[in-house]
Amino acid sequence: MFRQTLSSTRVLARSFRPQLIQRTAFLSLRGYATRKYTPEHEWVSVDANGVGTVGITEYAAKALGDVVFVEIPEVGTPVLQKEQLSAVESVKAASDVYAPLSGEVIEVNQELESEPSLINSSPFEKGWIAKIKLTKKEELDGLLDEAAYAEHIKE
Amino acid sequence: MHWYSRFSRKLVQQHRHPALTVLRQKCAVSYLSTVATLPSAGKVECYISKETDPWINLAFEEWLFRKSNSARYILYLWRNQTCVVIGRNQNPWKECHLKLMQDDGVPLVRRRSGGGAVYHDIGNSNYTIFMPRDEFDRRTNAQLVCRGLHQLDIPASVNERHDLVIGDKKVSGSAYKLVNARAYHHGTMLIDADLTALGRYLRPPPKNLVGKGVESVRSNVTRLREHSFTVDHLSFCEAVAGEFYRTHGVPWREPVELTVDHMKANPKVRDYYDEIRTWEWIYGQTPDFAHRLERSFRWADADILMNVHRGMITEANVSLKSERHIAVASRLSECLQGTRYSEDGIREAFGMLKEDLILGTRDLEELEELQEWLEISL
Repeated sequence: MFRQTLSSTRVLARSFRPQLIQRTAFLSLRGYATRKYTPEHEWVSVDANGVGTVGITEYAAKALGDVVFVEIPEVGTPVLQKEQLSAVESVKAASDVYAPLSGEVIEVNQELESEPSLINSSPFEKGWIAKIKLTKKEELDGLLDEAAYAEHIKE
Repeated sequence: MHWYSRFSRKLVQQHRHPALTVLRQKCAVSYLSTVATLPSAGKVECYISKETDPWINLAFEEWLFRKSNSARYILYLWRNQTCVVIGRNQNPWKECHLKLMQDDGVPLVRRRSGGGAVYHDIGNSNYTIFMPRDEFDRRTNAQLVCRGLHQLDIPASVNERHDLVIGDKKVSGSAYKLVNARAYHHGTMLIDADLTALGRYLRPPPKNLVGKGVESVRSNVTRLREHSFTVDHLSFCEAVAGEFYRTHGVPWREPVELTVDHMKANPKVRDYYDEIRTWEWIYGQTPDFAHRLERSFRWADADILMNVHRGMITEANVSLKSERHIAVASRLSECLQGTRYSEDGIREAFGMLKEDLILGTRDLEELEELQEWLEISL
């Protein structure tokens, strides 16, 4: 269903807007609908089954520079909110990634092992790090929405 | 001489090198604009370690990093006894000559920041600058240290990898760590370190080792000693601290000395120390890799492939290409699985193998040969 909403937005946008603007509008629309953020630049997008997909934001990826290594968590690992989930390294900078929500890691993005640069090229899509089966959905309310995060990185 | 009595002496700027004037301009900051946005003096601190144990010094660093979650700027100065320090996501079997280090009693240390392998000894000084993450950028602090070197009349500059160089030779390597709202930038400074030892330990023998993780970038190096007869640890620390205070617009204050008593008084420092001394941290944090070894013995051709995860052999495939050794090869594959990728692990696996199978004198001799080769090949 999610996919359908996406593509219909895209089709709509394509018919009305020039190429460049269309893409930006499409991305932010979807962001408003699903994505939440931490002040430490992680994002999480939660589906109807209570599974949160986690990654780091475009802002963080840009600040880090070319990612050369991603420490991928292990499936089955229980994580608590604000506990370390993963770590990335970019041009001599090691940066810890924290779990935005508590739960259990049920899937990881193995692609990052051979292609860590996906974090830079596609931070919100192909550069996702892990999927967490949430155990405390109420924690989601404490995260930033798109507008609040945008405000946060402007500071 | 107590080190801080030297700190109080005013630095005399000399302009012997004409090149320095140009370099100074490149690294210059507008102090006026810095002063306008300055943090208050209370937010600037300076520490110097009196210890030379690399793990104690890294534990102090971690403690300074974690203890304040505020907008503080902290400078920490330290130096280590001879050791090799690898980056957070590096493979020590690939980056350094572990056998030589073991023979010479040189410890291997894994730090928490990124980057490549570096050699430390008492002729190498280190600096760490802690700052709010939002203020983090690779160049600013490299330039700060560079200005410190200019104070010592050393014509250094910052290169495109944000390392400090003199001419085209590196004198200082840098690495960074970002956690939540804090960041640090740290680096080495070759003052009069033993460059022969540096080359020896950082040039590993070739191995058929394939894995992820971060590889070191090799650079030609030089030392400050080649450009100054008088520079030493204390004058370097003094120059960097002076520049640090000046950049942040605060008057000179004696840096706080850190000693082993600090570790005793702070259980957290002890925890950080204990953690980075474990095998699980030093070797076990190595990104996954595979090691393939081949050798022809008189009695068989050996071809061994080991997959290593967190320092443990998770899969081993031993082929001895000889009918007589089929049982040994398959049992050895099983025994290697689940042991440490280390000499001890190999020894353990061969121990198990010898208990499991009934072997003749000839078999035992061959196994002995195989084991010895495996142990030295890691």
